[in-house]
Amino acid sequence: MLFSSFSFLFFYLPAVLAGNILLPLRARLPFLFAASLLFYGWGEPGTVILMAVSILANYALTLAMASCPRRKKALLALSIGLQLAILGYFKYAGLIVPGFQVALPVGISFYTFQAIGYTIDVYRQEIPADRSLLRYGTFITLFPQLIAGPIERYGDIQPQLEKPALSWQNFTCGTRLFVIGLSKKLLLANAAGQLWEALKDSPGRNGCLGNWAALIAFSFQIYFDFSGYSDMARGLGWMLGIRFRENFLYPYTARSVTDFWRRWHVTLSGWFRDYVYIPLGGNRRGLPRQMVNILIVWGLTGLWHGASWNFVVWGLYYAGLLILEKLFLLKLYARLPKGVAWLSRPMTLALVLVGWALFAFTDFAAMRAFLAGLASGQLLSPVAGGLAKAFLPLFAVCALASVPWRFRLPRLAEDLLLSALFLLCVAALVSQGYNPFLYFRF
Amino acid sequence: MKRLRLLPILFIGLILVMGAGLLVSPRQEFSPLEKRYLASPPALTLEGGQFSRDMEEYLGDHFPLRADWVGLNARYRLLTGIMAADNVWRLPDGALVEAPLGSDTARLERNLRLLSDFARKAALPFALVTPPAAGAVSPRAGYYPYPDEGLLESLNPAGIRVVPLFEAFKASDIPLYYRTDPHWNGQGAYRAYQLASSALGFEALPARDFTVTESPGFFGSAYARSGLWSTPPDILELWDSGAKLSLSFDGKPDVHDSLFFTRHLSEADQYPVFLDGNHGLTDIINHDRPSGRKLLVLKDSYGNSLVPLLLPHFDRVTVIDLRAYRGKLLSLISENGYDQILAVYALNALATDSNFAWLMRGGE
Repeated sequence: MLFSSFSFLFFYLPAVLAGNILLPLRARLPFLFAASLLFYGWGEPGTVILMAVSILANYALTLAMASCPRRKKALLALSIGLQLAILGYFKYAGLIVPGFQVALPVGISFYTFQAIGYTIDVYRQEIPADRSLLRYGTFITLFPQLIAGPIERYGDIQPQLEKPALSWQNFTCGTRLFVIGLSKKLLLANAAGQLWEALKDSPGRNGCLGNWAALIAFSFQIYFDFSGYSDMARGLGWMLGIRFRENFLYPYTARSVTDFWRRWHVTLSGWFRDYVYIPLGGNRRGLPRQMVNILIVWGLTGLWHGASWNFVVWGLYYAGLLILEKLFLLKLYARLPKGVAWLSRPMTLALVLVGWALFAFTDFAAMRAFLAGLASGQLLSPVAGGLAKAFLPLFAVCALASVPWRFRLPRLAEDLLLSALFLLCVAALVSQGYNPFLYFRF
Repeated sequence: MKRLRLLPILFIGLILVMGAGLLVSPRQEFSPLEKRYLASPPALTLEGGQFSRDMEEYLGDHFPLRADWVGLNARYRLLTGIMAADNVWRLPDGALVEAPLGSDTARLERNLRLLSDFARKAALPFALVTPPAAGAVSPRAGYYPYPDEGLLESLNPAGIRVVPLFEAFKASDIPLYYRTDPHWNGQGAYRAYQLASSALGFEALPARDFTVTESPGFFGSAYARSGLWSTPPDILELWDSGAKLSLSFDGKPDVHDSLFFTRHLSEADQYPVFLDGNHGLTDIINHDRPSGRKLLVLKDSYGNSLVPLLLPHFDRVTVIDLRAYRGKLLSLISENGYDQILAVYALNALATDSNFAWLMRGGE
């Protein structure tokens, strides 16, 4: 099911909220579990079986780890191996065996990562292996964050499943976040995506400014699509009395690429930091080893985003940038005179934009053509110019929505504004019909 | 205690009201505003998310007050400027027009080649009338320029006489297109008829020789797609030369005595009033026998309102729509002995239609 769908908004959501409030506490967990399975299996019940296999196997293996400490390491390897095998088969087999194709089960990259994180936490004895299959299953399937994150840690969620913080105040905060996220998706991301779609296949004819406008549109699309999803997930969490972590901290205001990755998809970067980078030695084994670690982690981060080599290139591009920053760029930024210190922001933004060009094209010929188009001799074609000019108001709103605001509207005004936005979202949904999220392919 | 906020109450209220509305609102089969059939209830299938997609389409199509939501969204897109990415634009004078063609001309060139080859095989005089897009000749600018001017001429298709319309259409001070539909109006078709007359070998009749019947309340297809429901309707004009005729479709025995099928004027889609819409083969015999000449017309829907103007100059006019015609055209030509071929295609159709390959059927 999609958050931005009629089935979800007008039937599923009211039913789940009512159940969650009306049912006695001990019935809530089974209710949430069943509701999450319905959410996931809606329309594609086959994928639930795969998820059930993953849950049952991991549940059994982590319990075995607890009862049989001598075989802990082997069981850990088995558990991680199994999760990665599932992910590998469904997501990456086509990359290695040409022509091989299976349908990618939605959300698999997210829930397998959450399962691996859980196993490692149990192995490290940071948390005990959960004896309740229901609770572990609910942690993995929890519908707000099942499909596109945030990638949560068991230690943060488990107590909240036991004792959700249901309150009117949290519910208010939840609706606010949900409506903001829905608006980001339906009013900003989808519209920006239309400009990108209109221009991305004709980089030779757009002119250089036209191609930059297209790329800016894509950057807004992917940011508002994904951060909109995270906002909705967090909003739903608040409504259910569960607090999820923030996934986006105004990434386009970053002062450096290092800073950007502290702000973009925070829970994924956190996962790689905790379960890959630090175990590899992180920055504790000297600079050369740290650079190798960065290359490994960012190569994997790229690959996580999709089974296509361009994502690896995208990841390695960031590895290169992060290494350059470690070596000298960050020091250079720090030494900039006070008046021009802000220069590091546009510099970072330009690097991130070029990164999105690598990200957007799975076809390398199309990618090269687009990159060449960014430096094309023609300045701006009439078509691209006309489109970009028409989209300027949208760009302005997107830019405003990408930075933190110093002031807040009075409550009543904010509530009315958000209600109006919700009505516009419904209007867009009724007009646009079905529109899945970008991040669903990952 | 914290103050109660309005948002969650409004939010919950709205989703409950709309959800209830979805459950109880009466099902409509057809949307007259959007001129399309609405989705039927989804069939239960386990296949790759098909059911959930069908369900969304169904719920969206039957959403309470659907047309008002679509209208709100269209207003929003118009005001914010993102309508520029849609395929129907509202020009500053309120006219609804199709957005320009994409800049990819590969299909256009291919279709023109097919027409050239066909003209050579048929060995008959071949004229091409291509109405420019309404937005291209409008004095009001759209979001970005149309490529129409000089495009066909620059491709210079061999063996085809391209009737130049652009300059004359652009210079016209009376409107030649509807404001709610991409088609040319009666005046536009008449102007094209005048401009094509020398290529087709006749002298155009003055406008007063036609009886013009006006039918108000025409909402065209651009209107249906725009969602801008407050746009005022057009007046459909039926130009009748008064020729005595008999008309039949696809070789069927039913014979009609008029080019205008006025029963369509009371339907949501009124444009089929001309020639009853798009039939594969429409054969028209002019019993006045004015010239002893026969005309073969290949056309998209723009041709439908042009044919009534051409009829007084020919003994027989056979109208072919390649989107529906699957006969052997070259054999048809040799059987019936046409003197002239006229193709009437909007630039849009020439640049996107994939049916021109049917031209050569039976030709090898």
